[in-house]
Amino acid sequence: MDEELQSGVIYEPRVLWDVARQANVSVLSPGTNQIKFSKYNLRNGGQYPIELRQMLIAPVGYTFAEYDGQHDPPTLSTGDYGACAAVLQKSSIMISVPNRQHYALEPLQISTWLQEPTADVSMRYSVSDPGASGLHGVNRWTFDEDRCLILPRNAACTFQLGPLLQQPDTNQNGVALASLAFYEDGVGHGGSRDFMRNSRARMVGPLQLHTDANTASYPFQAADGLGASAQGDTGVEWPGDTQLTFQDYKHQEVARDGYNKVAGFSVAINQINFDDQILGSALANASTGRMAPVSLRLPCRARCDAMSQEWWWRDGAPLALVCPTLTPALVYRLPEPITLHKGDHLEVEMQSPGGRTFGQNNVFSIYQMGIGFAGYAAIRG
Amino acid sequence: MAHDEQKIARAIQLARDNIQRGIIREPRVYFDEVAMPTSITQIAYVDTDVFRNGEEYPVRIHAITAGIITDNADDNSVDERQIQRIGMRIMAHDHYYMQREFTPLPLWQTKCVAAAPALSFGQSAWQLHAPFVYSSRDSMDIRAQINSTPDVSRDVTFAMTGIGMDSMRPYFKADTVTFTEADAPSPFDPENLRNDGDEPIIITDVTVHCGADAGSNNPQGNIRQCDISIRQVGNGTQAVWMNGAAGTDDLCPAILLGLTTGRALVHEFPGEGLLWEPGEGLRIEFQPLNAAAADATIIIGIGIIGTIEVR
Repeated sequence: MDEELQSGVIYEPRVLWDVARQANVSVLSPGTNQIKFSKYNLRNGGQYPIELRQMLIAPVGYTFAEYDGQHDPPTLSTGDYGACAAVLQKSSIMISVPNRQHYALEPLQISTWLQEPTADVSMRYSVSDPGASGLHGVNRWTFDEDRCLILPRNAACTFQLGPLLQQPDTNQNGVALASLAFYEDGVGHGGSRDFMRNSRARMVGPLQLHTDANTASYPFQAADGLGASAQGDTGVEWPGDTQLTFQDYKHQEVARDGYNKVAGFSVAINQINFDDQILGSALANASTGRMAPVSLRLPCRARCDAMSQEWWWRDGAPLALVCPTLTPALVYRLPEPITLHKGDHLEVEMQSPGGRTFGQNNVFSIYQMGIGFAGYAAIRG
Repeated sequence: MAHDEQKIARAIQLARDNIQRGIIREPRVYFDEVAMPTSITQIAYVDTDVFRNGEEYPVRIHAITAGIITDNADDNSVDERQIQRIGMRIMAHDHYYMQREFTPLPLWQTKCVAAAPALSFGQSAWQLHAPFVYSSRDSMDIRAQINSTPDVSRDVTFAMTGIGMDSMRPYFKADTVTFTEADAPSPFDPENLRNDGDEPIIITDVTVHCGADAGSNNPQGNIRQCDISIRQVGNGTQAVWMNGAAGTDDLCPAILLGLTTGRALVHEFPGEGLLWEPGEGLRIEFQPLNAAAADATIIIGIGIIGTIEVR
């Protein structure tokens, strides 16, 4: 840690993210629709260079991970579109930094990229609901060893969760819970002093529902047409009950006499009741569906009150897109990091098939995919 | 591929060095099974005599594993997602590790252990933190049991893989036992696990699989139904790797061995892990975080995984 400080450069986590949406498209052949992610959202708008090391891709805004749970493999001609995985498995992507770096000159099939293991343990059965979202429900970013966040004395971090994208049919208020934690590294190297590590944690209130998922204030939209009810309970973008605040962080201060090395953060979403309620609802074939993790449609943001004081990513990133260590998103480590200087941007294009009607639920699908690039801002000053 | 060859060469070199220096490294598993209290204001804790290095050599602690176990014939009798509603804290030498408040167990998870869904329910796979030397004519004393009587039978398989120290060829040793009743420990056939060759084997991986009830239509196994005890016969310390509370007969819930893939929640200690000198240990406490988890039928298996270093 001393060496890093002496070098005069310290690092803060950063994620550039965007969600591409392909709505109101009739049935088309795969690969004929081209979507450009917004280069403004994939731009380094801060004042420090960002080194991007990992890429995350996930379908964003779906209630179910599989809609056509009755048939495996799907039997209907459109059945393969009943899984949100189709968004990924039938899509290709191209990444470039204009005039500098190209990951491919032609779009590459997403499913062929070498993925890192990040998934939650699967739940194909349980006591009451056969399609629960996952066993542990945790999302985590363990920072790279050489890019930990070095926090000055008396500085603190905050992590804030937004309201949840609204749910179909029934009011799901108060049933999904969240817990947040930052982890700090100790100073030992294998001896008993390694026990002297610290975390700052808070079990936050139940996630609130957004009053209207289609308003401009929400960072992304529902993808499956199941978010039509208006039974939400808040229009507030960042409810106070679902935050680990700077004060929470400082109240858990332990005796320390200098800098602290923040090694990562975790967000656990307990959606047991949430899954049970939706799977037990009147929604067509809900009992045989498979729930998507809430982290795929839960906005979040984080920052610390020292150094740059900038938000680590543009407000409202889906939680799964900012947690490259444990996440339901697909995660790829870039073979060569991409460095974006102030004002630089990425150009990302995706080719995908058009929207389809999901087999059993008769829900019109909208192909909506989120992309995130995780890395670190290098701050000198 | 080059990376794998480097790993193999390093493992063999390490084993050779250890032999020359007279060092034996062998896995250790400290475990307990804790029933949740029936009130959210109560605390349950492990047997502190178990979570202690009771041997005369240091133990390097690598990870903590946890999972909801079941002892009912109905595989789904206890919802394993209840692990999300249980808080844990860890204390040693009057210090709390990480956090003095009870932190939901999922927040302790540091590692992805998800296997393919087809296998995930029945298997625990463990890539050993330090491989051990399996000498010529060595064998394994493995015992297992299942926790409830199946309608027909359940197969439990133990397997381990390694590399020949001289030939560098891969070895795969495995045996299967069929169980028809609960709580009846049965040994695996040591002949199937014996090193019959003339070179020592560096064992790198251990896998346990608990199959489905042969009378069930669901082919998915359930690792939560199985307990196992492992001991090397020949080289090594001759001690059972597992160290459990009185009455467990050192039969450890097999879910706790899923450090690489399986269904356990795995918290890996950063860096090289903790060093337990003889007599050192820690205390782990649990608290249900809401009423649904305040249920004595929820039994959490908790394990500490380490490697003893005998000189």
